[in-house]
Amino acid sequence: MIAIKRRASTGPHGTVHIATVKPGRRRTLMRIRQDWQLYLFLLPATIYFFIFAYLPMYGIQVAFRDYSPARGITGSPWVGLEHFQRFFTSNQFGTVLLNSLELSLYSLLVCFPLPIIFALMITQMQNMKVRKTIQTITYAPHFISIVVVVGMLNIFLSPRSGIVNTIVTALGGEAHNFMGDGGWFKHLYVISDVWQSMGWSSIIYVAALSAVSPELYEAADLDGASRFQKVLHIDLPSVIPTAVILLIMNCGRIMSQGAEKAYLMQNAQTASSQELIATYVYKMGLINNQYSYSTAIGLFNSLINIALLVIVNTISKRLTENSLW
Amino acid sequence: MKRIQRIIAALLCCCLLFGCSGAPASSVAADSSSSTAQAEPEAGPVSFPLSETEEFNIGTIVMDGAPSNAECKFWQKREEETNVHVEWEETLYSAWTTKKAAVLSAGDLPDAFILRGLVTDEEVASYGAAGTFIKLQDYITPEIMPNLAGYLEEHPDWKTAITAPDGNIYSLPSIDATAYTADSIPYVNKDWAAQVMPDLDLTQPMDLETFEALLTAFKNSDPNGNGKADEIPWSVGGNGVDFLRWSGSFGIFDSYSAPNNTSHLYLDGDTVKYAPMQEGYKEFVKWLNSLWSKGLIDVEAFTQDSATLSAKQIDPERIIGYMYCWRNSAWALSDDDDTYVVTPPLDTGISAPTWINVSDVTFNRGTVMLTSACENPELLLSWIDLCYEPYNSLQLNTAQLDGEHIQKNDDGTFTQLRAIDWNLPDENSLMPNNYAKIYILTPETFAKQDVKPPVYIQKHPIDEMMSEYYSDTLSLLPTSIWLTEEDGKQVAIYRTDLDAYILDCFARWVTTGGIDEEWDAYVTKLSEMGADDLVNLYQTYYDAL
Amino acid sequence: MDATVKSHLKKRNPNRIRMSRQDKVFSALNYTLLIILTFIVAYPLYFVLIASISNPRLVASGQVWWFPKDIMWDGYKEVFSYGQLWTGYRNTIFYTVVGTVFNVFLTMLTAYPLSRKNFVGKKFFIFFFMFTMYFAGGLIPSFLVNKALGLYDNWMIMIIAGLISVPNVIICRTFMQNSIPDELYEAAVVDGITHWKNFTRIVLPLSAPVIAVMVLYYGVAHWNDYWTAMVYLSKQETFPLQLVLRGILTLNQVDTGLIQDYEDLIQRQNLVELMKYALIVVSSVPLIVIYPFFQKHFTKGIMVGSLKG
Repeated sequence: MIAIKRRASTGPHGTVHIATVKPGRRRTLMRIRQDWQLYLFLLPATIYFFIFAYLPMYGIQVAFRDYSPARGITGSPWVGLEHFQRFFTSNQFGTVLLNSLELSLYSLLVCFPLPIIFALMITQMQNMKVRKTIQTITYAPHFISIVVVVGMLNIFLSPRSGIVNTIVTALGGEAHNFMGDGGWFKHLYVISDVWQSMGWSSIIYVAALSAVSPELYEAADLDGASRFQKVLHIDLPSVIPTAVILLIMNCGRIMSQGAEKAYLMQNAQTASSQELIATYVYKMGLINNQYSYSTAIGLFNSLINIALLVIVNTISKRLTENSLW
Repeated sequence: MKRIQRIIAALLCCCLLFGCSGAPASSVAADSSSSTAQAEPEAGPVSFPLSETEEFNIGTIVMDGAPSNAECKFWQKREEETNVHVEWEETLYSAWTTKKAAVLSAGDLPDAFILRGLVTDEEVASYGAAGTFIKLQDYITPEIMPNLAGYLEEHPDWKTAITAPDGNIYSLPSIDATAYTADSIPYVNKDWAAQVMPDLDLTQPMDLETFEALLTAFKNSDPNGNGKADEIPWSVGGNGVDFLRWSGSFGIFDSYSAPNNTSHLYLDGDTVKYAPMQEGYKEFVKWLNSLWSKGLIDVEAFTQDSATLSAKQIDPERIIGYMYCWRNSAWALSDDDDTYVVTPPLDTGISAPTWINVSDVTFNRGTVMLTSACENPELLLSWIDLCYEPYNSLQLNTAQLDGEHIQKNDDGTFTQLRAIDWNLPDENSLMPNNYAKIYILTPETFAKQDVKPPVYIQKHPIDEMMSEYYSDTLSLLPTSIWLTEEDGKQVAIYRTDLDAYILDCFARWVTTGGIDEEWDAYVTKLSEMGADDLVNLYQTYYDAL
Repeated sequence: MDATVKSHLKKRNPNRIRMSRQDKVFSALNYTLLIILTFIVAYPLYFVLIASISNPRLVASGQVWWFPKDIMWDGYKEVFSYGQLWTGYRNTIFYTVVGTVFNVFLTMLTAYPLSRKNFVGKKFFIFFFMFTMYFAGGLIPSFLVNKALGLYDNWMIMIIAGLISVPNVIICRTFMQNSIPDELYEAAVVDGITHWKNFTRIVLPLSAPVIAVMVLYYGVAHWNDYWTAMVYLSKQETFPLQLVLRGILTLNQVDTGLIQDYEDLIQRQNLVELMKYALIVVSSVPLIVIYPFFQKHFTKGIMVGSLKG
């Protein structure tokens, strides 16, 4: 990327205004008039989100009411922060919060860099046929449904007949019931995440890499750079903006992901030590019909997500030039 | 670019056109009921067939991939008989848990719902209080609903059972008085037992030492003769919760895994007790732990899913010694396979050998509800009452259609015409699915069939055998207990914390031990979480019955 | 590079011999690592394939490893003999194609203003959109809103739900900001260009890689969507593939709480196990097969023409 910054704005008939010092507001108004088309561009999305996201938002007050579907939202009495209080003082609060944070951070640390590295490696593969095959194979796991993934985990890790334990005992070790071991839960979760998402997540990076101007490579060749150096000095910087933005967005979602998989992986031996906010919310809402309680916890979850998002975005703004806003 | 612009514009127009033509038609969906309804309710009994066709909307379930209730032969026959046409508003079974609240409360209600087993007691009571479900008690009269009224006369406890805490009846039940009582039972490998302990009488309760010796022998002496130490002496599933059935012999009834799940509560005489706080529970868990630490229990008991367990049970190499299942189809490789036999509960010395009796009546309160949208409840209820007529109830309960599978004889008995065969292409369009049925089936009606369903033929003797071991004093809480909405909420709050903690401790103590040291702190914690309040609450309800 | 340049380089750079060895090592290492990785990733996929034709009991008891055992095609037979399967495919293809066109176009359209440096109100709009990622009203209010709009039991909901995804908008915006150089825009400004022309003539063509990614992301999301259909559709002829497939699974699974006879249950459970794998294959093979056609958009050199031309 060539980082030349200049400011120019277009007038309606092609005249170019070079920015001169004018009083702020008049300049702003002028820009609004000049960019009127842009507001039109944003109109469909604005209407869409207004109708389908903002209108239903009145449902959030369920978290502050003692909601019963029979009485409807407005008919249910207001209870303020009672549900939040109940959650914070409950036995499971501490465990659930810590588990969620720990698992999310672990998952982020592992699952974030791998697709980038993979994208860098795969774009260095010259043989297009092999490259296509590898990409197709590595992106296929994304399509295997969670239920089947967990089912396979159970089969592969079975202490009796699973392939993992067969290898372990063949090497002289003792068979271990991985799925029943709370300590292994997060490792299994992250490993299966990597398997499912590495190839798929690398697609966006491969796309970013393909937009790099070939002239940069030619210039590097003239300077006598090795392949490795090219990767380090051209490829890597070109994916960093995308990577940073994705990292920020992922930080803002980490507390909500993976509920279904964690729920399916849980069993009596691991459930309590591996309960996450997301699985707790799921159980409360769907299974116990405690709509208000689960909405309140979900709201709390969202607030954590937002806090993380703001923090990481601010850090990123300071350190790099990329940020969401 | 221009070409693409044109294509997009064209697509947009097409979709708008299609969408517009689609929307109005579909939003007509289900409006309120019959337009040809009489203005006044009919006085006196309704006689079918009606002179003019009446129409009702009924909300119910359709199984994914199965034909709609509109194609169900049983309902079509009722329509011919009565001249009442039903428009079915169906929800996919797989969507029900997600959509339940929306279907029941979001505008445009049908005249009635048939949702057997899918609406909780609290929901019935709260929708009733809110007016979504209407009061039905005035309509259960011999003129309008002769069958149901007759049953309630004979069984006043049934009437109490369907009366909500606020004194009204908002829903009609489905009652199967012929249900099975022993639920799943223990089976032991008779061939292996004959090899390792030939003198053991498997039809008598074993004491704990013998049981442990038997399991140990299973584990060590390679009874399946294949040279590998692959035997699993004792395997259960259900995430380990199935172990709790053995608690009966320890003097407690931990009912957590039973069909009428009442959260570890049970009745001892007239006292409500909480199983995880009893001394017997401590002994029970210690016993399980001792077996576990000796490797006599399947290490996958807490983690395996039903497919894995089922594969082990039916493995032709026979790897399980002592298992827990519903009937022989779980392990039998052929019709005359008798490798496993039912074995009675264990004799612990703490109490008489006891097996938990899970139900003698399968009672579902919230099968039929009428909504505020219904303009002619008398007529609709008279139509529903037809399902309670004994022969119709028999058909509905056993999924046999008159004229196809079964027929009624002049002397009141029933003859089977052919067995149900789910492999036939249209078999599932003959009778309604499990959730769209209404019935009251009594043992008398059931007994009049000449050919009983195969499952009955097998389960009935087992139930008879196990009934010897049902306790006189210990039982589950009666299903007629109905919590008010407030109490229901409170119970849900207690159970959220209690159930998780109890299960966690149970798994930990069985697999790694430590119950003696932690017991006192554990009991205190249970009280803190509301276990005592829970018990007192249910005691109050029980006493009021 | 042509021969003269190459020989020129050779004379200029005496270190070239060492570097090409470095490059060879790098290539070999890269290649090997990728191949190993691919095999590890591929094994469970292969497992799905062989499990879909093996006796489910053997699969569940861990006896199927390298080859299918006790081959049974019942899973596939059950799936393909299911009449609704083909309407499911038809519907899903329709929803995916039509839906994705709208998705991609609107996403790019929305991302464009947000990528303009001096756009007034940029922050406002970003907050407006991102807020919706964190706060949602829940099923019942959404259900009511959609019903009021006539979208209940209306196939249009499959296109409208998820019409624009905020994370995707941000991805597109990032791409536009970083991979499309400002000079192009400035050069166009001199020619008197409007935003619309800039968008359609310059930005969109140069965004081919990210558009390809969006087509993949949105396409796959549509292909896999069953939840929207499950909640909002009730006419079986409008059901998408995933909902139909789930239907086959649940049809063969019986609720143990209410059934009178478990014998059916056991038989059907085995069929369900078998079908689980067959279903994955049936529903994902079309997508996997399509991917190579997108590959060409991810190769380098897209920019070449635009700068020189």
